[in-house]
Amino acid sequence: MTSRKSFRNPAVFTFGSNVKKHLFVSAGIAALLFVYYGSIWRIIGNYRYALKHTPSVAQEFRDYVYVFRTDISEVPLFEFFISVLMILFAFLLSLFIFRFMMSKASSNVYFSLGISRGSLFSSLYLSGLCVLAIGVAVPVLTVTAANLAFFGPSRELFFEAVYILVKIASSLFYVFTAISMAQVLLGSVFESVVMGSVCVCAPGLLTFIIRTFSSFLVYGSPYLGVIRSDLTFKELCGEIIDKSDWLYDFQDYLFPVWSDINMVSGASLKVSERIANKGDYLPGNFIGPLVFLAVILILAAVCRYLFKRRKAEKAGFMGTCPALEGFCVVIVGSALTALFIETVAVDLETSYFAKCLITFIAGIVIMSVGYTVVDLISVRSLKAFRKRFKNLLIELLIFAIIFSVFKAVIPAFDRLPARDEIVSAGVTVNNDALGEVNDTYSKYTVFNRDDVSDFLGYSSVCYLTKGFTSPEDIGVIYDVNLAVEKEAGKAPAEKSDNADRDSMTVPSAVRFEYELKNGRKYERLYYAASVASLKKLMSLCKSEHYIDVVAGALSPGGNSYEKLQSDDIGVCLYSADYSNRTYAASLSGKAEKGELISAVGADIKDGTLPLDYVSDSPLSGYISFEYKYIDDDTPDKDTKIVADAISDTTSSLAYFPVYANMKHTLDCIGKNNMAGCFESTAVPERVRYCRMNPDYSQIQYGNIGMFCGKSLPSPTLSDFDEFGNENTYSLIPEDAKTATSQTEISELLNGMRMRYPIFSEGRLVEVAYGDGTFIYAFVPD
Amino acid sequence: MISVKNASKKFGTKTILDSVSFEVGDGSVFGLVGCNGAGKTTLLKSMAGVYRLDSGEVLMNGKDSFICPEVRQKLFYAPDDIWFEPFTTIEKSAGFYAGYYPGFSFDTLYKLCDILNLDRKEKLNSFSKGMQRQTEVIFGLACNPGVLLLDESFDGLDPAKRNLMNSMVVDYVAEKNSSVVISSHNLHEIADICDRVAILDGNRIIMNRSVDDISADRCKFRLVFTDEKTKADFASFDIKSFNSDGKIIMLSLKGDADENEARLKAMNPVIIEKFPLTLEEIFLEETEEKDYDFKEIFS
Repeated sequence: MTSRKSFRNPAVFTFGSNVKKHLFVSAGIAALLFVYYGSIWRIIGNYRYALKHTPSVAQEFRDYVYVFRTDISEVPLFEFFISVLMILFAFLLSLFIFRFMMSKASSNVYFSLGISRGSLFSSLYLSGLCVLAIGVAVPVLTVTAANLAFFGPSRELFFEAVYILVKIASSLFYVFTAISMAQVLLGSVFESVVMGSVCVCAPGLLTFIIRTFSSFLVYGSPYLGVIRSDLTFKELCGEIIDKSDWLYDFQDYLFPVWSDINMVSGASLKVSERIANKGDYLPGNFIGPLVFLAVILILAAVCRYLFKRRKAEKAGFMGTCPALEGFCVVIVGSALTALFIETVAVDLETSYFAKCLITFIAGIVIMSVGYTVVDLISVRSLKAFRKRFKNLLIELLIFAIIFSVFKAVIPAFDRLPARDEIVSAGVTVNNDALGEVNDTYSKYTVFNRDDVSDFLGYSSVCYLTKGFTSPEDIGVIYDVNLAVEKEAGKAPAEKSDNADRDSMTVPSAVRFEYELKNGRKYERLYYAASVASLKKLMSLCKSEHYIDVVAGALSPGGNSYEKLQSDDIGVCLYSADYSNRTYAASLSGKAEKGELISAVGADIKDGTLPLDYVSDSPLSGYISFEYKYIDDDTPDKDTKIVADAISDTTSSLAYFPVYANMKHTLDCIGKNNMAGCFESTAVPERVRYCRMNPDYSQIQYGNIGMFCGKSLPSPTLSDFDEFGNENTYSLIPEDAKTATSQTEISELLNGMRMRYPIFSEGRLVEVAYGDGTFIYAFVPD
Repeated sequence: MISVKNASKKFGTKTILDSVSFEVGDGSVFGLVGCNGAGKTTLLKSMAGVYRLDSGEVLMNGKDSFICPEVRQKLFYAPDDIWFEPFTTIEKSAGFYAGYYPGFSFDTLYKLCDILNLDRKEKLNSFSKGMQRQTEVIFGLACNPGVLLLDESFDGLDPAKRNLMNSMVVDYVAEKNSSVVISSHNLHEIADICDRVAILDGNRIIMNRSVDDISADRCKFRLVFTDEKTKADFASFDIKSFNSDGKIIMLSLKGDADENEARLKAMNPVIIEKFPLTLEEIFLEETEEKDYDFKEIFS
């Protein structure tokens, strides 16, 4: 008897039998994601309990959609562990499905089957994707269903479910595809595992190479800069688009697993709040995963073609694909060269040219050693190694081409224009965006308790602008640009006792923008500058154009004017010694606030309020625009302020010193009968001080740092170490001197500044008042 | 029917097959013999669609076996190195083959299992090598292929099982009018079950003929002379092998047997006896390496 009912279509059979055979991988992935999203069951349990006992709490639950919310996502290591395990599952699945190609015996069976090679590959490949998709879909859909059943439907719930499904699946699909491609090209399991791993990591390595090479070799290009500015400068100089953003998007597209697995969805926000306030809801961006899926599709098509062309006789042999071997050597070698740049080259005490040359030679050595090791392992024969030696030359040539593209080709098309071609120049200095660089120069991230960073905040003097047209201003900007360009490759200095502080290179994001006579625009972006360069840029604060721009922003219609006038902002006045703090209710109406803002703008225009806040005129006090409490239950809410603006660094708040010659501002305050608010109301119980200089800080010390004083209820602050332990520390050293004589106390109180650029040396002073308030201020020499 | 036309295959720079051509008709058992490394396995793998030929083609009913999966659904290749899915049993593997071979018969498979005493539920990796070979062949037969390619499939079988398998294959061919290609080093077995034999040597087919005609153009003679003879005395013959023990000569000659016999008689031997050559003798004559003086090597 011939049983024909068993035979269907070989492709369908291959697909079905492989899915069935590998469902344990789906189960593994699903189990991991169930663990990850496991807290949904606890939440549902709590919800059901609340339904029985506290209906109001149950209502609260219904107001939230706990989609894919997990408490343990707070532990990055756990997220990393889950990600790695899922990747491992995808990796192993590919080995399970395509391992038959690695052995002669199994190749004989599979390739002699009555199914075309194309169909065989497609069926096996799709079965793998299906297994992975099941593994991701089951937990995601289960969690979605649980949410639906208990908390009801919402657009965000469905959107996030699809987003997470696509995002995680595309990551796993990529790993599966990369390992499959390695196996199609190679003949042994060992090589497939090693080179497949390189292929999996290739996008991440590629991004690392581009970032490091571009920041070191293409110094100054805004398109390849390593600094990703999260800030826009709409307040003062309009929006500046960071042109290096594409690099980060590129990274997301290349490998979503590491860059942003984003398994915890934003849909766990309060639904009603999101709907009422659309801005709070940030839906996932599908572009990355979709582009990634398109790349996977292309890779799969290439894989299918290669599978059809594959020679079965490769099975069991090593060294069968010199092209893939070469790719792995070049990409790993280039990544190691990039690592060499970061760890060795930037710290070398030589010229920039010598550093580049040393890097190139190091790359050649790394590449040669890498090739020799890999090829000898592959062919295990000196004779065969010699025969394939030309491959090394090809790989070195490719590395040389990559290096010269960064060092010669790109810079050749991106030269600084001649000074006389420039009609308008702009510059911004912003250190807040230096997070990426600080990661690179990790020594700057070491927290120092005696660090002045405790007192660093927003820095109005940093927000320089564009549109400088006077020859003097353009000259300053251009000269600084040339100076910064010459500092290429110079490692930003660490905290130093170097007396010549001006020559120190410090991390600082400096962006130049030029408009040329021919109408073209030209930009440069640097991540380090000497203190001297930054000081020179500071002089632009006194330029007419800059004053006009800032004063304009504070005039009716200006961005800052509109923002500071809003209803959730109140006005507080402080005496110069900070003993008196008054909520200026009479100045908190929209019209009154507008008048006050305009008055400050007028004083800036008159030059009585210098934009670096340094004035010879006596200090009368401070005006602070602060957020009001938003909690509706708070009595007398209008008078409550969220936080002491002094210790708040939010850039949307504004804080101005009031000097005795600021006529417009003082008139406005006087008109509203608030002049008394600048009077001191208390005598300090104790005044202590210590020396302080700009090198005090290791974090952000390259900024054109604006000292921001603090008003605290305690002389200590606390932070948390990497293990989550709280450490309490004093803001002023234990051995700080105590001022004893009245003359000394008066001198310190009169000289103390809550906002001051800290390029110069001075004293950090702690003033203790009887009501338990501690004030920390800077007293410049 | 399956035909191989000008099949050539190289591995790197080494030529394994060089313009090999032959045909295997329906209802025929074709024996493929050759030295180690002669290219038998490469040829069978190329016929099975595992290897892509550098040039030439393997056609079954006019369709290329490498290109057309439909051809391979009617062709079963039992390779020399046996492979089954890990931890599988005959029953589970049957499901695998049934998915790819439209003619697969569970009934045939189970009956053959019973005949060969193979446990269908036992893990195949616990089978001996001989049992695995039997399993491989009966899977091939259960697939009901039009062409069955057996690469040294009977090696390692005990004589009883070997006879049984031989009968199985011969009866299958007779019943289904299929074609079978067997590669083996057991020349007696080839001569027993094949109706046609090809010798592969130096990457080419050097002989391809029916087993019945295998010694048609050559013959072996035993001659006894009154005086001693040397090889030079037979220089006018096409000698394939020559053994002399003084006056007794064993001689294998190519050419018409009767004509050679007449010419030898003209040399007045005391005794002349004529024998047909066995396949093994022909194989050795065609492929034998030159004589080595091992005594000298080991002395």
